[in-house]
Amino acid sequence: MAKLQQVFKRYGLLILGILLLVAPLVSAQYQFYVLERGVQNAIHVMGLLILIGYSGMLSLGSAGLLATGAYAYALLLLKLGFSPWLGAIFAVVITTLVGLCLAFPAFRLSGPFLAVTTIGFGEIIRILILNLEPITGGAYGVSGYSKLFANELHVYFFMVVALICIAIGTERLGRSRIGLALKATKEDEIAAEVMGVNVKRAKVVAFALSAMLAGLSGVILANLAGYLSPDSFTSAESSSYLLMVVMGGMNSAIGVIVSSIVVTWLPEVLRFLSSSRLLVYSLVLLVYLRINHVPATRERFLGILRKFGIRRAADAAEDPCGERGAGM
Amino acid sequence: MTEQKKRGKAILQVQDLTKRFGGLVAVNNLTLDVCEGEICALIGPNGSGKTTVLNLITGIYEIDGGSVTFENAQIQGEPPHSICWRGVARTFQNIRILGGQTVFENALLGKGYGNGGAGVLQTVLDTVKFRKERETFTAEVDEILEFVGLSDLRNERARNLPYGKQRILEIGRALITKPRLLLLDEPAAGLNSKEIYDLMELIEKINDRGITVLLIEHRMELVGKLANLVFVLNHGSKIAEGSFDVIKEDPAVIEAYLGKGGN
Amino acid sequence: MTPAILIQLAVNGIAIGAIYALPALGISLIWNAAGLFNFAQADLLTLGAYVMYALVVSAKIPYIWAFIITTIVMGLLGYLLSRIYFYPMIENRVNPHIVLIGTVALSVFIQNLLLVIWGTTPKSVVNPFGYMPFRVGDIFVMPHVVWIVAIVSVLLLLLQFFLRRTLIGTGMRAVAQQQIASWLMGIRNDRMIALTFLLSTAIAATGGVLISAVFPLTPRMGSMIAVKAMAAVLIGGLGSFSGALVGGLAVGISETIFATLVNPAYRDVFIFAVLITFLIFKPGGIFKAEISEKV
Repeated sequence: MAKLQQVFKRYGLLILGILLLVAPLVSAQYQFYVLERGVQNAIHVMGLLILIGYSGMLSLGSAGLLATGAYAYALLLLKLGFSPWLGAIFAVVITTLVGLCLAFPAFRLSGPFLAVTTIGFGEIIRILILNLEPITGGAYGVSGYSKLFANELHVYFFMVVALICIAIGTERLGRSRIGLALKATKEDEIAAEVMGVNVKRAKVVAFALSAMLAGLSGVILANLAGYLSPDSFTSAESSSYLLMVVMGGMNSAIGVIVSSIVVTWLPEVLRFLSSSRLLVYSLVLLVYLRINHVPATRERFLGILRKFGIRRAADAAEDPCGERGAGM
Repeated sequence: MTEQKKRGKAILQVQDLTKRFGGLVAVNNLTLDVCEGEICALIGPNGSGKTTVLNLITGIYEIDGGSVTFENAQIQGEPPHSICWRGVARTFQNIRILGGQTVFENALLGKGYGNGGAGVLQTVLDTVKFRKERETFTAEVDEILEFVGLSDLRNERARNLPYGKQRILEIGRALITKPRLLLLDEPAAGLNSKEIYDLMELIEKINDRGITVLLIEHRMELVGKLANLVFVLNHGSKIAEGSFDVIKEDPAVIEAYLGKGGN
Repeated sequence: MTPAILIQLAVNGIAIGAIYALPALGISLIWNAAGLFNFAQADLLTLGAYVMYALVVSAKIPYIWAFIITTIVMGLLGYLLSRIYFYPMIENRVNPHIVLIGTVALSVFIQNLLLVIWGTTPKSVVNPFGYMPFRVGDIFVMPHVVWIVAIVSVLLLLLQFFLRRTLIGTGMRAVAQQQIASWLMGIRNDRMIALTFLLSTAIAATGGVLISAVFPLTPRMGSMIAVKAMAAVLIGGLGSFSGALVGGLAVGISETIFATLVNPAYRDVFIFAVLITFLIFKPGGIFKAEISEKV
């Protein structure tokens, strides 16, 4: 058993990747679309793992960056006649540059102040898209741009391979001294500085990486949907991304992938949720935070789990030093 | 013992250092020299501005007047991380380690970020350069953990360590930055007498490695045993300087500690 | 553009600004007492507005009684929020990032709860203050402007009196300044923080009642007001009583002027731009509460 756990710990990402690659063979068309959205979300949320999980900078404007990537791709193709691949690369670069602008307020602001700034940033982007109608199509949205792959399955394989590579990179980053520098920035900026961490640079890196991944996710979203409208990028959407990163444990790439896919899939499995998706998500998030971070409640909850025979899950969650408890 | 007794080359020179918080002058025209290879102590009653001096030297606070020179280069105005890269490391009065990270990771943090070495791309791609760097870092960190005696706790979460070990970990983390000057802010606070004895040995061992030490301390037995030279601070000004035996007889020092009419 | 038009716009902006000041004040009070920035304050306001709608329109309770019941019910809700949710987290020294995420989740929860119960169709509550504007010189003033300003002023005076002159108010201020010391002096932190939540939520609900007289209600309204309230509190200075008021009025007046004279579509962009400028260049706001970290 212990050996199996070790194998999973070591090759977990690869196993997950293979599962995702074979999934389309066994799933129906509609489920497949949901799976695609889950993987696309996971790429975006991986960026939030670096930004929120590692570096502790609460960003609530990531929907704005997602929109930047998606719209940049669509508009580069439609208005400037870029080829799809060139358009995709430029869209990611543009999103990264836009995201970098957010790093500058982050030099001076933290916690709620930074969060408010990012909300503002996301909303400004959304309002601009809504009102710059001649360019963005306003509330009508844009469509009719060409895609990266003619075959939908190829988009999916591209996405999964990209996701697994990104996840491996993110895990490596998390364990390296750069990851440590980011985590130190989250817990104690002054101590990090004194230990020779260039905190400003660390913040720039975190914002750039997360913006880059949001941009990539946006490009893929444009490819999946074939149609973009400002409604897909409201700040309320940011909260479902927040749920994905928090439920993923805030410290693990595998956690992010699993929770992104599950959270995307959930409303499809539980049909009655579809109209009140965000209601349930936010409630789950509220309850999870309260149970997981107040030791007394946590104990009581684990006790109940044990009573119902879900021993192993409870024991896994018991170890406060485990991967998930770190830094929270 | 006179203080002129064969001091070496100055490694840290603080000249007319001044810091005001609003109307309050926290540090007032402070001048002091720390020479290579010495263990110096900065003492003074509570609120005399000792920690502020460390915060000014390490760049956490902005300086209102005067200069700080480290190895013949003026360092005031530089951000804390670049002062660290120059070779000044410090610990904190209230321990500031990363509780959720392991002892090893906490120590590795001392490698900093932004001072060359493998970048993000190399880390993500796991290049040869990154692997080599990781190996050297691991070896260096393990050597220091061995040196300070935390090897057996290497993979323990820092918050699970007893208080004394956390202090040692902070010192170890500072050593990873390869300092030539180590600033210790009340390293003995909260330790029991056995731990204080170990700490004294450790500081001497660090000093034997050629690292100059400036420590803030309240425990006079530690200051008396370790310090070649003691600076006494009161209300932000230096009121005495000299060997421990000299300053402990100094009337100004006694008055500062015990108040007028003390003794 | 004549000065008269500017004054006219300012008068229109004052009423809405006074309402913004209420959740802003709540954010400041909670920040002082618990070191927690409540992102859900504006949604509590919206919730209050909907409770008012339910009582007045659906249950047909007389307006003034509905006003009182709304305030009390929402105050109790705030108290419970603190007792069962936020205080246990604060007590266990949970990382502030996590508590912050909790308040964001609460905000989303309230918005979607309203959405599920009342749907997206805007709901209107009667304007009890009447629709006949009266004239002062060249300026037309709607009666609700006068009423809102009067009610908010009385509320703020009462609150000021409560915090400065009563024992409980002094206890609350003590907790805000020195949590451990006041605990040692026998002040129950949990009660004081819960009481702060009670007051802040009741104040926000009052704002909700007032806004229901002026605007049709939508579940997402909280997001819009949250922006204004956060702008108000951060421009005025987080933690400052006068800051919340001045910030609220400044936001209300300037956005009304901007929307009329420049472009209503970019009203929120304008507020955000001002807010971000303030955050970056004057992070303490106008009435800066001196915050320094002990190193």
